[in-house]
Amino acid sequence: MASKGSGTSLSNPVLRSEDRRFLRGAGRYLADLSFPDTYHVAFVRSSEAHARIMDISTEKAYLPGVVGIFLAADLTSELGEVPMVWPVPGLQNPGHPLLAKETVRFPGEPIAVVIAADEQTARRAAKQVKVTYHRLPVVANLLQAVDRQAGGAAVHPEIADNIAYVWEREFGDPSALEKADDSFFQRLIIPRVAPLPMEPRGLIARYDREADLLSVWASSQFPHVLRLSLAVVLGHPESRIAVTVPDVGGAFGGKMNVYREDLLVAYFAKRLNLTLRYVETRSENFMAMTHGRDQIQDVRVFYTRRGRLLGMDVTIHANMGAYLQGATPGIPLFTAQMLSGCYRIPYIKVRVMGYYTNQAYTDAYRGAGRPEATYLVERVIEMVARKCGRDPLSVRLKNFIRRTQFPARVVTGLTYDSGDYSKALKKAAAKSGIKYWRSEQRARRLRGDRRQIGIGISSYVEFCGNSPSSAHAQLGLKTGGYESAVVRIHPTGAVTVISGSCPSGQGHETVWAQLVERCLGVAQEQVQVVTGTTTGTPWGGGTYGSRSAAVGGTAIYQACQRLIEKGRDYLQHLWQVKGEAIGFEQGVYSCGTRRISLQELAPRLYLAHDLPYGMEPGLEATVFFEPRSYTYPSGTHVCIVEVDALTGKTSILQYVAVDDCGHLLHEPIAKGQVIGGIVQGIGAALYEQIVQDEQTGQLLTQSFRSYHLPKAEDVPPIVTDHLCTPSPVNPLGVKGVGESGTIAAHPAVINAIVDALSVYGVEHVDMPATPEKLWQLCQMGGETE
Amino acid sequence: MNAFQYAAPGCLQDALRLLAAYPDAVLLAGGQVVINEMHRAERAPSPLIDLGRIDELKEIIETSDRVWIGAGVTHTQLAGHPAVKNWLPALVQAAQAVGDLQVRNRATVGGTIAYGDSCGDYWPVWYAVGGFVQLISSTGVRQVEIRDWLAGRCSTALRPQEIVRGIILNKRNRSYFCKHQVSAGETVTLSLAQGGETARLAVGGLTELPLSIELPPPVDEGWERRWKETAATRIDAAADPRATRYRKHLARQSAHWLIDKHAAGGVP
Amino acid sequence: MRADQTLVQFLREEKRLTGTHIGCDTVSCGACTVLLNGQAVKSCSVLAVQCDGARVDTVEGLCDQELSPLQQAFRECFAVQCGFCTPGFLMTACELMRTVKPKSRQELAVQLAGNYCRCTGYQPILDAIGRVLALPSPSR
Repeated sequence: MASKGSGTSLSNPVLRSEDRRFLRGAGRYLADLSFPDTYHVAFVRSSEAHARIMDISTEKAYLPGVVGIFLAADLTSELGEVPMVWPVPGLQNPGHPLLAKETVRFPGEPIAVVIAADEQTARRAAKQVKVTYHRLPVVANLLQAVDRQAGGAAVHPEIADNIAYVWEREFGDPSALEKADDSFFQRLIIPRVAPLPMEPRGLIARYDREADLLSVWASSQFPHVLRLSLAVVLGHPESRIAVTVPDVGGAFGGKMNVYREDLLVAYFAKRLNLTLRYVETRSENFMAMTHGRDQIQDVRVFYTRRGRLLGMDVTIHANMGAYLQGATPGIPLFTAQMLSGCYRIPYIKVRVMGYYTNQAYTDAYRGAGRPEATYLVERVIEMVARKCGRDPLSVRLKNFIRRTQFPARVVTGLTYDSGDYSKALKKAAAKSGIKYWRSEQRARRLRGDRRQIGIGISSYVEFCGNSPSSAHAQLGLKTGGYESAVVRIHPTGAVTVISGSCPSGQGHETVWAQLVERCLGVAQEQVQVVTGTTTGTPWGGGTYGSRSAAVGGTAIYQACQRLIEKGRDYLQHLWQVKGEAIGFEQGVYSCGTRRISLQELAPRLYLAHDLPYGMEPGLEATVFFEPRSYTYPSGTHVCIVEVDALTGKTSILQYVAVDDCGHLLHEPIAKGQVIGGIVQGIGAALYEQIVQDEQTGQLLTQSFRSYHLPKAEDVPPIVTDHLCTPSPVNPLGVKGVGESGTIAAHPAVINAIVDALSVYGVEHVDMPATPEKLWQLCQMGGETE
Repeated sequence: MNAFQYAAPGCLQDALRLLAAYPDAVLLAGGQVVINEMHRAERAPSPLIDLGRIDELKEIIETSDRVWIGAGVTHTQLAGHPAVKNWLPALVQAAQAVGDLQVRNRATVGGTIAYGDSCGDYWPVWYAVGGFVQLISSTGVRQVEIRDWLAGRCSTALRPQEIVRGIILNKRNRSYFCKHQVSAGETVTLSLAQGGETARLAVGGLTELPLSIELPPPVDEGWERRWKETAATRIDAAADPRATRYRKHLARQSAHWLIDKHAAGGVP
Repeated sequence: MRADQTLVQFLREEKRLTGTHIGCDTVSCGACTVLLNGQAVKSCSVLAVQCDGARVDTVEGLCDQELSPLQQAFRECFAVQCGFCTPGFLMTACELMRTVKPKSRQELAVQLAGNYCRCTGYQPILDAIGRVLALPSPSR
């Protein structure tokens, strides 16, 4: 691709155009939008984790300014339920009503909708609604669900064992296990965490009765999916719904869902013919935005004494929450698919069991099932190394898929596109100075230092660039995976690119303009980028699964190529030469001494006075790019910790990340994604956990006062570097980078801590590795209380 | 429900008059608690008396053996004041560690006293150092010894119609502070202070009210060992759901560390 | 203004200055940070009426046409991703530059405890403010 214009080469990366408004406070987030005559919505939410609703009294709630208070019984029976698009085979789906009818099943479940003239009145009124509950036995967390399989509390009466589904596969050849010298069992726990973007959710809906047009503004990751869901659930024509996504203050998977709140606000806007606004509070965000992860993994590992990993028998217990959101059932299937990690593992048996609990819905959170897989595999390989008394670096190298083996098909059925795992590992090891840290570790162990050094390695591979639609078909996910782009050159030569991507901080406005500049030679500043709207745009998939560059970017690239081809075809006719004789470089066609730019061609193509026979006028291209495969970023992260055995506190002294995400479209933006992702992984490894009371199910972590979000002082120095094995899956050679940091980080940190505490006999520690937990482990010589 | 009213009196007498006229008025100082509770509608709207414009509450005054800190002093002001830096170094450290920069710029000493979160960082310092909370009401001035002020977590000896005027602390230039963040919202905090014959170690976060440990004068040989034993015994005896083995361990370790610091500074 | 209106509500609703954001309800995240008489405060915990006669600086006042050196540093260090926390960090940075003047990156990080970010992992923000404060860069 030719590059032209100022600052487009990697060594001088272009500054982000979005920043001009963000730095001035001129970003337009959902809560910043205002419309005349807006009414405000508040929700009455359950204060119980599991209870029968005995009575709802609204008599004190009709404060001056309250327009209406609505319960489940007030909703029309034609209204659908919250959409779920991943009906895993055998799934027991109890349904997902928009408002609790007789029973509440998680703390914060919406019970009633309050509409008032201003936000404060709506919230005050909601607090005045008195709900009387009759408490029911609670399944307060995943472990309780797993342990009580044979009886006890049921979240849904018709699903007595709380099991949503069982999904089993046997991959590879079981006879491979015959070569095993030994096996061991380990239970790994991945706690429940919350995405917590700095901007909470919000939605504004207004209805134009004359035009039968429902207009919605939402802080969302996928406007077209939201529109489709509204059409289906509300029974409103899809073509008469317009969804616009303004600037989004972070999402991380939490805004990749269509929630009850979204559907209810839109429903009432239409029914009451009012403009309605809902912006959730942070407390509500803790309660009712999807939570992430929450798996218990039981693994039996088969290996040889020489450090070869032969097979695994894995049971993944996965928490669904009380109800199913869009992709809830299937996220753990992503985990199952990635259980081979970077390694040639001949045999993997996996059983995924989904459970209902009295907790909020679980769904995608940065990595969506892949951090869980990497955590499992990287903890396992570390344990194998330890049991064999071998260096964890060499055990990885021994088991790695080799550079020459790509495209590499692993037993789970995925084919990794490209990679060089050994190179990344060696680079990371060298860059982190592992030799130095090993000697420092030895010295401290010898003198019995209270501050022990630990070295943690995490070699990851993950699939992203979601997705080939056929992959969804195979997994039972009822969506397509492609992405759309329109590149339009207007009669005056102005350029617009419309992407189906929907950014929430990833810099698409800058990178798509830059991409168009590279392809078409149009100065970046002149390229108009449109994302996040359904108005006048083709169907877009939205942004999630690190797909926007690999899939969305490729769609833009292909659209640009079509325009270049059209221009060439026209010039073939105009100049009376063969197409091959016409060159195109930095936006300009040339043949001999003749030159003309693509932008100069535009008016001619709209004038259409001399088009070749059969050529349509205009200069725009629409592409739906269907990737033929996922892309597979990979890399190795090395984390050096110091654990103070006296206090249990962990300091991360150094963190090195070597990532291969194929070609980079914009290095600092890619780096920003890696670092941001790593810090979220560190957060889960050391600090974060959603906790509910074991007896009552009450949410104990419902604000930043009780849930530790990493702060500036919690962050170690992070050094990044990259490798590039281009992806053969798309012409840009890009993979994806948004989730890699998070996917790699959990085991990097935990492996380091276990390494540090191995002198105390510690073999494993579960996340979050709090000081209290680590201190206890040191005290007990590795046994927990 | 009352219509909301707001007043910002310029002197204590006016504040007291307003309080008498509006008995259910809420006193507002730094606002970090009150305004947040109001906003979250956990508190019904009621008349607000803003003490923030009363200059006499913002003074820090040094006498021969005490330091007076007005209720209106913010944590930022406290940490930067020479009298506090010279005579109450433990309090400076505590003030620098409270909340964050923005909170320290607004939250006040008086607010801390009135709110009475017994697990807050200041209480071990105030217990160790010793002194009085001073209140003012229409009937005059009242003083309550610091160790009698807290009745429970967020429960104090504040009477209706009373305003916290300030806190009087003994000068303790040999005072030390140590804080451990145990989880997002919880800390184990210790302070040690000695002045003349009196030495006291206080531990916050282990029990509902701070643990106050009187220590014998550090004159005899082996006083450090005795101090450590006394501290360890009292800490181990703490019976409270908060007082887990880990927190007791942290408290013991920190007590030892503070005692060592004191010993290293030379016995006065 | 309503007497019980917080400063952040006043700024956003009455003055239509929406650069100051609301990210939490427990005076934690700092997205609402403004300068009140030059001091960084969380405007969700201050009443508008308390600011009578006071000087309030918001992110909108940091520059006219050209970005200020602080804002430019953020841009050049790629310290902005979704931008929601950015105004809060900028305002806290103003006080740090003017009065607090942290001497090391670690000290800077501690002084930023009242500003949360979920996107950047803080490193580029520390780079940007560190550059403006002329702090020694971290040895990496």
